[in-house]
Amino acid sequence: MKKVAHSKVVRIALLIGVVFALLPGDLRASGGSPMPRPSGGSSSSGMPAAPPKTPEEQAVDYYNAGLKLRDKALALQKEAAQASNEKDRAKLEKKAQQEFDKAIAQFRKATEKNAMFHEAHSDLGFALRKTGDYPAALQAYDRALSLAPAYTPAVEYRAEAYLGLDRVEDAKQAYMVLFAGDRGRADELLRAMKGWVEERRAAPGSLTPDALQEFSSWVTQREELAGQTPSVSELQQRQW
Amino acid sequence: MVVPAAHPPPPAYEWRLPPGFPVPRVPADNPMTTAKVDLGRRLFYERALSGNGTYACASCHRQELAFTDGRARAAGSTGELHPRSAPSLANVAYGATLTWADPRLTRLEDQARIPMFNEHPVELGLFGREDEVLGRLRSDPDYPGMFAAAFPGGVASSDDAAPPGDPDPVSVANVVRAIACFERTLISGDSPYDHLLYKDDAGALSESAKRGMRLFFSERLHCSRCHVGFTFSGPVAFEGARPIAPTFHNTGLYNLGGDGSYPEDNPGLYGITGRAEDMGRFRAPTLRNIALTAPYMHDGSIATLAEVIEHYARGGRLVSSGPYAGDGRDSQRKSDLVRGFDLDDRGKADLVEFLKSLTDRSFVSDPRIAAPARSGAPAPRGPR
Ligand code: HEC
Ligand code: HEC
Repeated sequence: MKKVAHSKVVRIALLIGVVFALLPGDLRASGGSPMPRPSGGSSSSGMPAAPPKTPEEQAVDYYNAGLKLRDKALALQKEAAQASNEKDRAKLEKKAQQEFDKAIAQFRKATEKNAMFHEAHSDLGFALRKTGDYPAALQAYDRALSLAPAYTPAVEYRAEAYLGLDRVEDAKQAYMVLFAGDRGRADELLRAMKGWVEERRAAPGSLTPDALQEFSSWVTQREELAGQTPSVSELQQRQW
Repeated sequence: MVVPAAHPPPPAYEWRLPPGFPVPRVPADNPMTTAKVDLGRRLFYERALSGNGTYACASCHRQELAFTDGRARAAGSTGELHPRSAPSLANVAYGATLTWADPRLTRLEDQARIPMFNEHPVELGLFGREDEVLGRLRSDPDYPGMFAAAFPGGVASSDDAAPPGDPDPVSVANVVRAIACFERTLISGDSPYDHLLYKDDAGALSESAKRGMRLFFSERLHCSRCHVGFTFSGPVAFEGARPIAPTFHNTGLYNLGGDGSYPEDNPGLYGITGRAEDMGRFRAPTLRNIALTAPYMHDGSIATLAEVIEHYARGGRLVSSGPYAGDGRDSQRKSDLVRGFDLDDRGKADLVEFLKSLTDRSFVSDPRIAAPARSGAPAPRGPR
């Protein structure tokens, strides 16, 4: 029982990996980009010794290290998706998972040094999700969003973690939040939802076929509505 | 240079914007404040703001009709007819240009002076009577205090022509500033369509309205090519949007004498540019609350939504007799996007159903934008 569920989780993780690899690079990451260290502690070149780093500064260092590892892992996954044979693919995917594990360790340290660091919680969630640990990913996203409710990367990726756990109603709610507030993220989530539907068609999870079909038509309808509705940023750029 | 006494900047105005609505653009010299909005609301409904004391902005822009007047052509305080119909003021804060066909008019502050001082036609009839009207406002028990609260700097502007050092904030410039602030709060985005879009309320639209929605946005009908975005209108301006060229279209409503002409009193953009290709071009008006704003088009010459759809389906209107006879379908001035389409009766009914789903009941009954109660007097009904 447990084993079945686990292998399914892994397969989904792989699929999401493939979907991600196909996305343009700037959409792939969870929104985290290297952080400058908090000001105050930096020393100019003439100074003899740098003062010891504050916990916040240490947190930023861990976070930036985590981002590097995450990007490495994503690159490996992309390679895996393009691999010519199954053996290479599995090998690259395994390597990617190892890098995600290392990233998780760094993000964790970042959140230990600075518990209020919402980006670190969010990227921890992202890396956990990529290893298939949806419950832990959800916890990390929840923490990020309790600190910064408007942080849309976490809203989106938490929704993808919901999908991993077949919690479609929660994922739908997240989509509605994003549709009003961040159309780029909303579109990205909708693509992930479509991929998820295909995956569940091939390997059914806890949803009944009827429920899956219902969700699928919901996705189709939202896609139609989104196509009809120019976002504010589209209107900003529009040639009338 | 005399520097006016320093006043702390007012706290940032809190917009109540529906989902999908960006922050409206506000002129730097007239920031939004609650005090100005309150004053502007009062003035918008104020009959003392007309030459003969019978008329207000709200006489032609009635809330229950989404701030239109229900007439084909507006009638002013002296009964004179305006050549055009009063457009809805829903979401007027976003209008890249104002009125039916005037690319020069982009600020509500400038627009508000037109109905006040117009002589042809007379609307509020204030031309040459500024002092009289300002005197009425000054002798009112409430206005002086409201103006002082809204314009704590006293003399507010250079275009005011107030004598230097005159601390009296009751001025024409401040009247139009306050009214413009109020107008920017006339925001409508709570229709059944919005509930479908942003609240995921699939039952908000009937199946017929949903079919109509598909038609509206279809490449075949093109409606959404001109009635665009969250306002369902022509070009919008808002915070952060890049400047755009205003756009106007000829929908083939008239074709006088076979050369695409429109009636003399309503040539559209041509009336301003004098360029032949601008004949009959008008701004695509908002379709929000459209079920409440009949009759339709710039001159109110179409009575119902069903007939508007007939006009588009035919690809231009046929006026078979009378002074305006001509077939708009054959007009050489007509937009390429008005080509006509085949649509059965059910499709037409569906499209009307969709247009009805753009009616925002909370907008037309919102007490915050209704006629305010006056101190010491019973609340007036909106002026008629
Ligand atoms: C006599 C009826 C009448 C009165 C009174 C009147 N209006 Fe209008 N309003 C109109 C008409 C007609 C138009 C269209 C004018 C045109 O296209 O030339 C219009 C257009 C407008 C517009 C442009 C709307 C848009 O969508 O571009 C605004 C804003 C407006 N009026 C505000 C006001 C204000 C503020 C007052 C009071 C100071 C006022 N109106 C008084 C009839 C009236
Ligand atoms: C080429 C651009 C264009 C297209 C396409 C277009 N419209 Fe319009 N629409 C306009 C313009 C411009 C006006 C005002 C015309 C006038 O008054 O002469 C208008 C007016 C209207 C009005 C009356 C609005 C009012 O306040 O009086 C309705 C309703 C309407 N259109 C619905 C539609 C529908 C439905 C479609 C699709 C079948 C459509 N439009 C397609 C530009 C367009």
